[in-house]
Amino acid sequence: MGYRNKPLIIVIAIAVLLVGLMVFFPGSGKLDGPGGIVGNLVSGATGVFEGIGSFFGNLFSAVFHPNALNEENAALKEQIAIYEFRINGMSELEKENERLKEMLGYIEQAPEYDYIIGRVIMKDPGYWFDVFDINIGRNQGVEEGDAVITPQGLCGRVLSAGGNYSTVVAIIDSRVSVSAVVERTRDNGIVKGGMQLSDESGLCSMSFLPLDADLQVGDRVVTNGLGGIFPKGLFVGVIKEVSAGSEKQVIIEPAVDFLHIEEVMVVKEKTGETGAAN
Amino acid sequence: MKVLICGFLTFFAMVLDGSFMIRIMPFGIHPSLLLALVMSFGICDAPFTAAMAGLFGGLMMDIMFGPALGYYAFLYMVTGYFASTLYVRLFQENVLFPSLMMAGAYGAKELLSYLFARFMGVQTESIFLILLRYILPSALLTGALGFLVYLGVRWLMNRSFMLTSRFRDLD
Repeated sequence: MGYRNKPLIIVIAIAVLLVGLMVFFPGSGKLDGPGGIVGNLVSGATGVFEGIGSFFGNLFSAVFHPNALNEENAALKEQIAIYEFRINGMSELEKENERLKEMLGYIEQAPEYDYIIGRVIMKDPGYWFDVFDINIGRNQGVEEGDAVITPQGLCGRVLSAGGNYSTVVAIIDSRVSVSAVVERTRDNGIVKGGMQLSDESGLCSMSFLPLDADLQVGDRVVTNGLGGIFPKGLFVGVIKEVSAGSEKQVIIEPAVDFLHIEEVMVVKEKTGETGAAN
Repeated sequence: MKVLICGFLTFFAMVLDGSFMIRIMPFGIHPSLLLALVMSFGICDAPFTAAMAGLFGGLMMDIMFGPALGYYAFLYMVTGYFASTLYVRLFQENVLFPSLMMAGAYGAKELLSYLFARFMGVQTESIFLILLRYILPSALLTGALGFLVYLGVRWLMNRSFMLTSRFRDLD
């Protein structure tokens, strides 16, 4: 009798152990040694299948939407050009901001950024968490907590970094909060992800806004740099819906299409050059 | 040899789930090849084999992108073991039931996953809407794909190099 129940007892014992691990070791970035080996192995294997999957995914899109690829290509090229212009513009604005702050007597270090380009190799196939892996890690300079962006806007932050891969949590994941500001009205708030059925690619909500904030659909939302997690000025998304009530809350459509994300850039602060104005 | 082959197939299914399947499936539907494989092991060999395959595959998923270590390992191990135990004890004679059990197991796994996610503070819409919009279609697709996986695993388990099993002795 006891021998027949042995597999059940073993399964229950392991299940209890796993629940204990979940409670006492939340987060997947704790296993450095064995986790790094598995991660490097998996990241190498997924490259082939991710490419094949991407090929078939694009093929299916072309069958149902034959002009979509050309339109998307043109739109992406335009976005890249706009983004490059904005980077240059932001750099100039930051230098001007430095000079103004020096005049007022403030001392502030302006961040200068480097970018490490990576490719998405795996995604969490579940529904409750929006996490994906990229093919760059500590060996390429990626660190836990680094902001991750695409030419469209803010994508997420690095949850854990292995040798040659990293796990990124997207801003549409409800565990992520982004301190942001509405670009037009300069109202500050917190952008938080959450699973919304109305959009497969995910939406965010922005809360803790002033009750008298004059917000409109289409207003751009960018990071305000508070908290030191996400650099200032990164495009988060546009306001899709504004709700009036006891608490001002808006729905944000992220700038990034998380269903079709492929390449990303990890933002790193530049070292050495201070960028201070004379 | 059997452990190696089952381990490799589990690894392969996990990689496909996270990279290939998620790219080609439209409308946010995500069938689970890993769950289909785990249950096929349970049906064709022994439920304990399903438990160990689920544990192995789930642990790899936890290392790669799990919200907590043990999250996916628990889900796949428990779902695979109990669903295949139920099948073996009640529906062993019916050929089509593996598909239905896999679809049911997928739904059970996602509901259990939902409970854990809520416990971890994840905010979501109504579970019933999510069930209708995402989970049910994915469960049906898992059952359909799982039948093919089951046929493959059944063929594999009857090969001479796979016939001996330590785990079979435990059931």
